Amino acid sequence: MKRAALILTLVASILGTSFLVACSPAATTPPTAAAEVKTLNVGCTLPFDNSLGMDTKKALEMIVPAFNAAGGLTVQGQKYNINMIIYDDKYTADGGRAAVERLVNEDKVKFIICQVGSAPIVAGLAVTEPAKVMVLCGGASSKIIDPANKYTFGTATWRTNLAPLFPLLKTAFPNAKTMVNLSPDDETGKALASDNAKIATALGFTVLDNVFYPRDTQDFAPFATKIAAEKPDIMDFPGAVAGTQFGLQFKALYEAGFTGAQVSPMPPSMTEVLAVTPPESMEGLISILPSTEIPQPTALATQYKQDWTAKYGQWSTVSLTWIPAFYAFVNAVQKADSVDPEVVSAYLSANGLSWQSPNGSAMLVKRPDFKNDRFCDTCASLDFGIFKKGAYQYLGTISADDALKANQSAFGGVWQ
Amino acid sequence: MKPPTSWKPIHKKLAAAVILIIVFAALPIFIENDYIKHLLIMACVGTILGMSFSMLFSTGLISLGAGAFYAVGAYISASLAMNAGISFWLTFPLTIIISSILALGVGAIFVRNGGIAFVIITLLFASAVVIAAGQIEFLGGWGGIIGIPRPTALGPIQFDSKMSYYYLILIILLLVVLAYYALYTSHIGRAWKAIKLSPNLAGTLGINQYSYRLLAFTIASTTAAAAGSFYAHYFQTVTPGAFSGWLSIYIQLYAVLGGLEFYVMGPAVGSLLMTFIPEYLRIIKEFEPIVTGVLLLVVILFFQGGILGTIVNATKSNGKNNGQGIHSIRSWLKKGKNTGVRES
Amino acid sequence: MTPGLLAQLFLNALSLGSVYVLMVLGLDIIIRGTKILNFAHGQFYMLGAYMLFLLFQIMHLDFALSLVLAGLILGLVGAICYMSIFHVVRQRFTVTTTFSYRLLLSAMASVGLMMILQQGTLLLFGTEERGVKTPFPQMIDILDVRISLMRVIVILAAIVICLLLYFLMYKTTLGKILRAISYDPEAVTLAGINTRWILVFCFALGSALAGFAGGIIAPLFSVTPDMGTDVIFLSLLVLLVGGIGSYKGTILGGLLVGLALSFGFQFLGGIAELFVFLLVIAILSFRPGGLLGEAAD
Repeated sequence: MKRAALILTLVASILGTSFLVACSPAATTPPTAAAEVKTLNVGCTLPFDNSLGMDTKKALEMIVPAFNAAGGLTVQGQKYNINMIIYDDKYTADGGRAAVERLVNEDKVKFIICQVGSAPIVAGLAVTEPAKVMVLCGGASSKIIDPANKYTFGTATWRTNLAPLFPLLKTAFPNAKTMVNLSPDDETGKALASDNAKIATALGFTVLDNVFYPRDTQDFAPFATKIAAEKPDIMDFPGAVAGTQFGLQFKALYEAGFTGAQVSPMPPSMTEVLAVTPPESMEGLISILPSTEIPQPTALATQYKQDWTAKYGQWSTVSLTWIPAFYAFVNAVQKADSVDPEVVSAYLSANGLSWQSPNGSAMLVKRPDFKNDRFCDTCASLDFGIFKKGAYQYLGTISADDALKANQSAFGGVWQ
Repeated sequence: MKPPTSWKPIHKKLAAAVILIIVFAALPIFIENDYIKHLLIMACVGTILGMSFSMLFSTGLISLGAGAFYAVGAYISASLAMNAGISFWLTFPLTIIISSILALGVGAIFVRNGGIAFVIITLLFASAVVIAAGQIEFLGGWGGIIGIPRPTALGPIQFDSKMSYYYLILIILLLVVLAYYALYTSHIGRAWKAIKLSPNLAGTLGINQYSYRLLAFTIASTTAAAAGSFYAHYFQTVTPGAFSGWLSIYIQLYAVLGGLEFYVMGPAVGSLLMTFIPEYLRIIKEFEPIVTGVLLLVVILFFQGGILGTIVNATKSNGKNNGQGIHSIRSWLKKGKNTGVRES
Repeated sequence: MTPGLLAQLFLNALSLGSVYVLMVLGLDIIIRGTKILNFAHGQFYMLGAYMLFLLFQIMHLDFALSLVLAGLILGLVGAICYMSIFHVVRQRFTVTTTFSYRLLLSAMASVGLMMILQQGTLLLFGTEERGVKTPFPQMIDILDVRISLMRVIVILAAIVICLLLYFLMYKTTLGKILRAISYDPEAVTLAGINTRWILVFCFALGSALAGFAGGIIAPLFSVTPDMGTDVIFLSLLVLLVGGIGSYKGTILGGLLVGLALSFGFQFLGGIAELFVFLLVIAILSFRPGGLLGEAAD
């Protein structure tokens, strides 16, 4: 009987708490709209088991209601309130496919925005493209900007931030000649490492090695040993994921005795990185800065950070990374003056788009190097900083136009 | 232990099967929602995978490698379609032939390990296949293969709707069921059962344990590969990430939940449940894995013989409580009454 | 290749391998005693890391004390899980229940447990990834061979645990019973020993080892809810290479996989993991049952 009581309590308590916690957060019902305001359903899939996804979800749950409260969308005189439908994609192809199937076939959304992971995005394309659903997504995979896609636009800067970053290295470290790339052994890492090598070689660096680590690696000592033995001047981390794993890489290199310069196209998530590695290990890291962390952030960025800290407390720079897609979407719909995804996609593909977000200014560009002559990818303004004596120092900002020029000269072709 | 295949006279079973087929064939006519059709299609794929697990289990082997051959099948089919430009109607049989040869070779090594070692080695094989697919540039690396063509039109039948895919997988499922049924009722099936009950005893009766298990492994793996081939042409995208080791673990949940003694209906019921329950749990999405985990534990602890086993025993209710039968919470609470339970 | 690099690679291998040895010793004790293939073992490891994070990082207890406490708490968690889940599953079995059926049901129960622990931790601690400040940040640098003191301590801890377990298994009566149970539980029962509590002890000891392993590596790596799922696959691989039910095999397997990974990453690059898998499959095709194990059914 004791055991019976034990297990029944166990099961009951687990179920009980599940339902209690599930029901307790006040169900956020969208504000009851006035009779003439319509609702526009917009879909999104995010991984609910990591901060990448959860912080983006929190960001959307903050900016979308604020956008609606400020008047929402106005298209052809008709007012629309945006209703975000966000599902878990588990960061996998299958999870993403199931979530997108549900968004497209059950919820009948016409727009999907702000997705994060390459795997769920690419798996979802087989549904969204035939259904003519417009997708504005993050993700580094070059399959997003494949010429076969007609309704898909990449709004992340993964593919375009290396070219502007590298000339900066040249000025910061004039004597540096050799370089090693450390990237995850996945599609993002492979693609970025080869882009990286291309740009670095063009600028006169010698790429000694491209080291790949399995995606979920925790112990970086074997890789650090290898890299330290090669003695590169510059250590590059293309495709590194912002969290603690990034920190473990700094730590392992530091422990292996590496003392050269370091560069990363993605801003590390500082609270997570510094939880696992001493600040000394990051000395001399040049990276892109979150646009809220520069001396004079834009009004949008300041407002965003204020709203976030007021609503959630602890500030998260990760939340900034993926939300430009929302601002691009809002601008696109209003510019094209339509909520028909076909019309909006056609408008964007032909005319491009410039927009402002808390992350700075950005614009759509063509990718002739991928034989894609519609506006499908994004160049954005980038803020740079260097990590010195335990804190970031602001180095400068490259405008979206300059980023575009840097990319054109690195990859060739006319991008606009 | 009473063989569960004899719980109804054969003609009743046939009638039930015909009714089931009609119900499932008519189902999409009443369902407008494409999303539900997608779930039904995935449930059918899950059923095939669960059945392949059950087949190996019928010889006493627990394989966590069904996901591996599911991936192998998907990749063979995808690369044939993309590189040789042949349609699904050719890639499907070719996949079956190639993967059966592969399965025979791999199985020859694996089947030599019994028990826990077999469980782990198949699980590791599933992981190895995923890593290999990610490393090989020819197979698209970690980005996988996209743009796999749909099956070409068969006369007037176009494969551009969920409905057509649903009927396609239903027909494949039906063929698999028939083939499996023929195997289980033949002397091969009886030999498998003998090996499962007592490998040593079966050996003394002249049943070659190794070759019978190898046969089961080959057939089960080929079936999983066939499901993979369908998957590739349905999803039109194949990425290594879709076949992680956890997929293989989910597959056997289908069989366990439905009822291990029911080789066809068990996986079907389990697969339907595991596909649809998480969908309805999305309302409390943060708790979905917890609720699924608790459900799994409840079924294992209180509904032994799976959901079907419990239902069948309850309807039979002739008082006899054999080892695999129902153990309701009540009988469990009256601990000690069920004789034959070993303490340790 | 310089001798310094060679020494460094061996040291890395030792450091990689010792983590797996700690994990797998626990896994092996559980399998031998209770015949449960415990997929939730990785989650016990993860919980151990979180316990250390709570005790050492948040509550500022002494590191060694936090470690022991993490082990003890996880032992308790393991005992509770065993009594409320696995023991009940076991009671459902009858004399006629086949081995494969027993194995499958308890493995599936552990998958259920795994899901609950995993998501529970995620909900409790959030998605933010944590880290534990290392209590021993010093670096040891001898002739270009560098290793952090924390890693040395992990290696030493693994050796101490191995010795302690050896003492427990081969020098005490309890150890004798534990070994006997893995061969023939019935005979042990017939000898008048209450096997029920011995099995609870088995499971608790295995879980405590996982908790200890998670705790001691927490300052080396990061503490995340999914760290358990990542480590379980390679742990199972180590278990298989060494041979299930072989104490020395586990240690040998851990070292071998550590070596293969360390040298593999150096000379083969990204395909090192695949190479390890193929190596294992090759070993198993020549020696079913692992290096030092017996081909068991």
